[in-house]
Amino acid sequence: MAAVKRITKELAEFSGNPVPGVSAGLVSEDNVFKWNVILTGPQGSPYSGGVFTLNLTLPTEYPFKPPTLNFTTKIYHPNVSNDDKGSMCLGILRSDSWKPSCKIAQVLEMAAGLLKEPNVDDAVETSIADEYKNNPESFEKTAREWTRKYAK
Amino acid sequence: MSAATNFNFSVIVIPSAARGAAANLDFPTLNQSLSFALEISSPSDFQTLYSQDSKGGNTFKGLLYVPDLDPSDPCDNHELVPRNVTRKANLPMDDLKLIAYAPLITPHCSRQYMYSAENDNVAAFIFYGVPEKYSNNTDPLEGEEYPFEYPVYYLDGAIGQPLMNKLSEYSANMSEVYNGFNLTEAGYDIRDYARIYTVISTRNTNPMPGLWLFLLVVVAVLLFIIGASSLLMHLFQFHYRRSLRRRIANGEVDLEGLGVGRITVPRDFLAKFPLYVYIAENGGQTTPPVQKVQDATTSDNTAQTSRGEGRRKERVRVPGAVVVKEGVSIIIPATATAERKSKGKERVKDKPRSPTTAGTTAPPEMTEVSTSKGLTLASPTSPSTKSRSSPKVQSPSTSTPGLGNQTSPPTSLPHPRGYHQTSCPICLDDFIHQETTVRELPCLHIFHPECIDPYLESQSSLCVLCKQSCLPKGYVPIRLTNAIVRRERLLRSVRERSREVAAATAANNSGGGEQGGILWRWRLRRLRRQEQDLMGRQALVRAGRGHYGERGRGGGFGLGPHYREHREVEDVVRPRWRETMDRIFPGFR
Repeated sequence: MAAVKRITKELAEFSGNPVPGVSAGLVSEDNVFKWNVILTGPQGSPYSGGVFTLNLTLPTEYPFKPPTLNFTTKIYHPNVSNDDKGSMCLGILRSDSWKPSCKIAQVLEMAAGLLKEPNVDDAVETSIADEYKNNPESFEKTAREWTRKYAK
Repeated sequence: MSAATNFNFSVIVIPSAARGAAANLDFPTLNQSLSFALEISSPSDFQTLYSQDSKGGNTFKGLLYVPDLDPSDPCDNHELVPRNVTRKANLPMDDLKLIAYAPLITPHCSRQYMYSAENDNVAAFIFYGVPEKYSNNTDPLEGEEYPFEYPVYYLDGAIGQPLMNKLSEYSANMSEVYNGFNLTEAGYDIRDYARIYTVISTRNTNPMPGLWLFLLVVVAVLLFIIGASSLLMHLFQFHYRRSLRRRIANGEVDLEGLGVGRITVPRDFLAKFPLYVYIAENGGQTTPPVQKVQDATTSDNTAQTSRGEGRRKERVRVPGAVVVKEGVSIIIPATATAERKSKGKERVKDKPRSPTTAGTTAPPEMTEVSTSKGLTLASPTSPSTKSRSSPKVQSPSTSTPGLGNQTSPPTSLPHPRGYHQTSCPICLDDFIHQETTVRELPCLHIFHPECIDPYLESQSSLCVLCKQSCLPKGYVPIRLTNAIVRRERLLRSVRERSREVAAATAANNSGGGEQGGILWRWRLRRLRRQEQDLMGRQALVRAGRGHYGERGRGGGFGLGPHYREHREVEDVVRPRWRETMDRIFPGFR
């Protein structure tokens, strides 16, 4: 199966050359389509000190269809939906802009980058994005609070 | 109301034996030479006083008689109505159809007669005018509302009085009627009855056409309107379909963006996409151009030939590099080319070529994947044939002034290499120099055939890298339905609107806002609202996509955001009347 082959390859590549601040691995050895990802909150961001766990789910059509990223740790972030799914909606993860040449490592890198700097133009939570733009102090306060509460 | 057109009086013979079985009055008329017959058809001789029958065309038939009045009633004027006139008692049976006949004297008398006639269940009533010394009344009810169901007619006195007298002659048995002796002599049974039989014909005098006719006209007009608008809509839809087909053929329409379902590449198209043996950059310096592995079809050959020649003509020797892309050439200074080459991330160790090196070409930078870099077509070394290359293969050498002079058969076309790709973007495996067979799509991206073919055949017609359609220009892969036409128009209008919004916003930002009139501001507000509406809808669709994606349903990769929205709408089974409606009025939705 082409997808399994590619994912295995990517997994090996990622283990050999991990993205800083990100650790990832399979949830269980017999299923390469489910990855467990741990992001550490970057220094200087309101998420610093927090540890965020995510589920990375790869479709069987991978790499033709994009993977999905879900935060299992609650996070106050414009690009992460504030519900039980915690889905992260990035530009490259949308199926109409996804490219098969994009690797999982790049996706994770992007996710880590978003913790450093949220993308307000492509936000899922528009209210948080507005707060981030117009009232950064209040945003940072809440984000820090949530990090302390949920991501320790 | 229906007016009388004709009165016909004749004498019929009712055999005495027919008692009880003669309600339809289908009896022979008496020999006319021996009896009486009267036909009144001149409109000046009669009037229709009351008729509740609106249909017209009816005939009223019955035996003529004078209704009975109370013997003490002064209306029973024997100067006008002879004593021996035909009364109800003179008729052979009770259940015969009757037409009442009476002089029109006073309203009171008319009423008495009419009540009496009502009791006898008459089919019609005929009044006749009397000399002025009795009455000059012509309206039996003097304008009161007419209470009865039977119609009432009026006969001119000059005809009416003699008829009354005639009626008195046909009240007794056969021997006593007018000409009775001759009649019995002629063989009529003396016990038979000879009575005056009356037929009143009517026609419709309504100034309005009949209700039915009116309805018919209305229905006809409606049908015409429906038919005409349906025809017009069909014509318009046909026109739209044709223009959409033309625009698709011209490549102006993004079919995938239309969301008309999964558009895939048919196998025979796929087979026409060229297959090459991958040649790495460094390999190109020592090896000749590769040959095409797969034999192309004849039509493909010609296309390839023309394309190849067109391209080769561009490769003129210049002091610098020529970027070749479909007949467009841009001259780049050699230094720039060299600089870029050294910047390239490719594994190949590039030696900067001298400006005089023949035909150094660089591909245009189209994707982030590709790095611009020299093409390996014009190899400076002499050709060395690989085991797989055919004898037809010709390769350029440094001594050749330009490739334009060369003619090579299409089967030996070198790999044009539009982009620099060292690995397959699908499986991430590196292409192996002179070993890997690669499939080149029309956008010049290359893949492992085993990676890209199943995808194009079953999932999408777009290149996974640049999302450019792999279908040839002018190919319309779908049946164009009115729904597609509608969607395309909608999409286009939405796009135009958002462009308008952008323009208006820009104008507002630069213009400072106040100089526009109320109208302009209103327009801007409307545009903004529409834009927000549109954005909201897209967000909705986007959310819906996630949902479907999780369930693994309808997984068209690379389809526009409208794909599922419309799929959802159209998957719903619509009632048959809606289908019919759509067929009749394709323009309504």
